Amino acid sequence: MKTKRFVYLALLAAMAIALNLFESAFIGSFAYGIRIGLANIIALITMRFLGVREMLAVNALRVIIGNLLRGLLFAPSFFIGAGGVILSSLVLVILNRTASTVVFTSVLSSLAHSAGQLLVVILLYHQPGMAVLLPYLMLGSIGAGILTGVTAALALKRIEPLRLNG
Amino acid sequence: MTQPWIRKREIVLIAVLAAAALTAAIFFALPKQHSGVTVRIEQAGKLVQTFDPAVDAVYHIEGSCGGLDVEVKNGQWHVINEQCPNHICAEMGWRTAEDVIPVTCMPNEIVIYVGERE
Repeated sequence: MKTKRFVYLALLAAMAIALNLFESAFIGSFAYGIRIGLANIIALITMRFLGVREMLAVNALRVIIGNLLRGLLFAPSFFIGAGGVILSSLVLVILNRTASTVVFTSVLSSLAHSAGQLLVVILLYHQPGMAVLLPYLMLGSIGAGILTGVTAALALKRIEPLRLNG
Repeated sequence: MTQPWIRKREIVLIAVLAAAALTAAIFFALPKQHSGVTVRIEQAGKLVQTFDPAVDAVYHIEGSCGGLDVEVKNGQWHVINEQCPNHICAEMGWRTAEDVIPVTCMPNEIVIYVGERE
């Protein structure tokens, strides 16, 4: 059972990294740097399917390996991304203890992701004025969160038969 | 797993957050009528023009060497079409209300500086 769990974890981490790279290469960001955050779908699935610790592992791997593959490890974008992932993971951990639904969890984690990224930008570039972007990022995050949440809910329904019993 | 995708109270909470963000976004997007900052332009020690950096405009200022134009855009201003030998005033680039060093054109005896703040 442990091996199966590891295989699932590796597959989910690979999917998160692949989605992260795919989004950077083919979709990119919209106005004000708003992104869909396709890899968040995998974070949600991992948390609901395997557990919180596994979700944290997938998120950490996606930031480190995703940036490493793009040649941006320890570049400003790495720290900005890490800020977003740390805050969104924290929200996921908290919401996992409540009976929140997948879509709601996704929206709040997406909001936390944007807030975390913005916080790092403000601290990194000493630009407190960037805080005015928060309402626009919030609006984008709510939309992106609903999209990723619904996708994750659909995927979770389909992979339910694969759920581990142990 | 019988959990619904989303509950009614969660929709309400998301709607409240979205409404708050939308209100703030509209507030920030509204053009500001005045910035509370007045920029002063002096020529040969005399005040010849004042402007609000929130209002986009181009002001022509006569000077001892042929004068210059001050272009105001998006809360910033810079010197263009300057009639002077060194062009130092134009090279100072875009200035904002936070800049403490005034734009100076010595040949034209023109100084552009932030005057009053509300």
